[in-house]
Amino acid sequence: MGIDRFDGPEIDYLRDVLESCKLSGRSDRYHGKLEAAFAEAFGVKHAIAANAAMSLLISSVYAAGAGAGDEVLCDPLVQFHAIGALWMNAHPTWADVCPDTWLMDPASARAHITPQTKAICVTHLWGLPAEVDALRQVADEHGVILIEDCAHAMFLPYKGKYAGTWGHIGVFSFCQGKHMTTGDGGIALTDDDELATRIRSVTCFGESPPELATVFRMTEMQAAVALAQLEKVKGYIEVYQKSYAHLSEALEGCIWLQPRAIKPGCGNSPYIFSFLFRGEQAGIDLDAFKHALFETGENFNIGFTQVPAYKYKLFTQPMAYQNKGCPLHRCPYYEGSYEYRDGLCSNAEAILPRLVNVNCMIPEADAQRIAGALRRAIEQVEGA
Amino acid sequence: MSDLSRLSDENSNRIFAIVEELQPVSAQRVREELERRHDLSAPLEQVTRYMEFLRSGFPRKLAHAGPELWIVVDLGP
Repeated sequence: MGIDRFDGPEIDYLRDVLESCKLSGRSDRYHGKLEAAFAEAFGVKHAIAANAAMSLLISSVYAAGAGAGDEVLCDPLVQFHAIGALWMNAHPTWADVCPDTWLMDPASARAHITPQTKAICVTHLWGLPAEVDALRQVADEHGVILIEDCAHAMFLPYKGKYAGTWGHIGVFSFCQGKHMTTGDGGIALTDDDELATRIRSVTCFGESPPELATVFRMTEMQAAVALAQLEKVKGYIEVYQKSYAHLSEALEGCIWLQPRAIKPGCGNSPYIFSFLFRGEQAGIDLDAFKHALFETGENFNIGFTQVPAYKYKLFTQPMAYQNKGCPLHRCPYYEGSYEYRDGLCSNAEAILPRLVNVNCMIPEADAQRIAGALRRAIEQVEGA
Repeated sequence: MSDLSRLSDENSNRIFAIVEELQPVSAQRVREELERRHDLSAPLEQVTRYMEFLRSGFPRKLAHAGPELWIVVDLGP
C-alpha cells in the first residue's frame, strides 16, 4: 500500500497469541480486547468481530429479519449487500445514488421501500459519507434496519458522529486493501442489544446452536493484528488525506472532469480518489482519455464495474441456489413485483461508465507523482 | 521483449482469450501464455497493469476472482 502498515506491535501480539497456544477467538484475549477497543473508539455498546466483513453483512441481513419473500434495499454501485441478501434468500431491491456524490439518495430509498422491505444497506463509498441521518429517518419511519457498509469508512466523520454509528448496524472491513487490515476480517457495531445478540449467535457456532448458525468467528491472529492496526489507523488516514488533496489539485481548472462533491458536515477517510469524465461537452473523446491515462504508467481505472449491480447475471439470471429460481425469479413467498429494468437507477447507470478511479491510500510523494501524470494526460488530450 | 505499455486491440484480445480459456488464472500464467502462444514477452508488472486496465472493458471485461486470480466477465445482455 506504499506505507509500512505493520511497523507497530503486530509481531509482538502475534507471538503472544502463538505462545498462548489459544488461536480461536476468545473473549478474554485479543478477540475480546479488539471488540472492546473498537466499541470504545466509536462510542457504541457492542462490537462483534468476524472472519470477514462479508460474513457480517450476511449476518446483519439475517439479524434484520430478512428471509424468503422479504426485500433488502441495496446500493447499485456495489454488489456486496445484494449478495448478502441472496444468502438469506431475500430479494435485493435498489435505491439510486446522488449525481454529485455517488452515494445513496435518501429520496430514492424512500421511494423504493415496500411493505416487504426489512433492511436498507448503504455504502460510504470510497471514503465519503452517505446521508445516513436522512436514511436513518427513512428506516425508522418504516420500521426497517439501516445497515451501514463502512468498508471504506474508517473513522469517517459525518455531522459530528462517525459513520457506522448512525444506522442500526455498521460493518467495517479489514481485508487486504482496507484502511486497516488483517488479511481478511471485519467488525460490526451496534447499540442495539438484540441485534448484537443475533449477529453474535449467527457468527459463532456452538455445540447446540439455538438457531441456524455458522462459524464466522475471527481468529486470535486476526484480532491481534487488528488491535495493533487500530492503534495506528488514524495516522494512516491523515497521510491519505494529504494524498487526496494533491490528487484533487490535479483536477483544478479542468472543466470536463467533475470532482466528487464533499458536502458540508462530511469528513473524508480517503480510500479511492474518484472523478467523472464529462469530456463530450469539451469535444474530448473518452477513448482518447483512456489511452492517455494508460500511457502515464499509473494505475487508473475507468468505468469501475461499468453497470449497476442489478445488471449482473448473478441477479438477472436464476443462478443462485442451483438455478432453482430462489429468491429472485420463482419465489413462492415473494409478493412484490420488483423488476430489474434498464433505467431503474438512472444516475448510477449514467455515472458508472464515466468513473475514473485511482488508489489514494498512498504516501504523499506517490500522490504527487500520480497527480502529475493525471495533469499530463489532461493536457495531452486537450492539445490533441 | 514486446511492449505492453500501450493499449492495442490485438494484445487485449490475446489476454481476454487466455483468461477465458484458463480462468480463474493468475497474471503470471497469462504472462507465460503470451510468451508461449504469441512470442510476446513482457515483465509481470506490465502484464498485470495491462490486465488491471482491462477491468475497464465493456461489455467484456476482466475481473478479480480472489487474490492473484482473474476471470472474464461478460456484461452483455
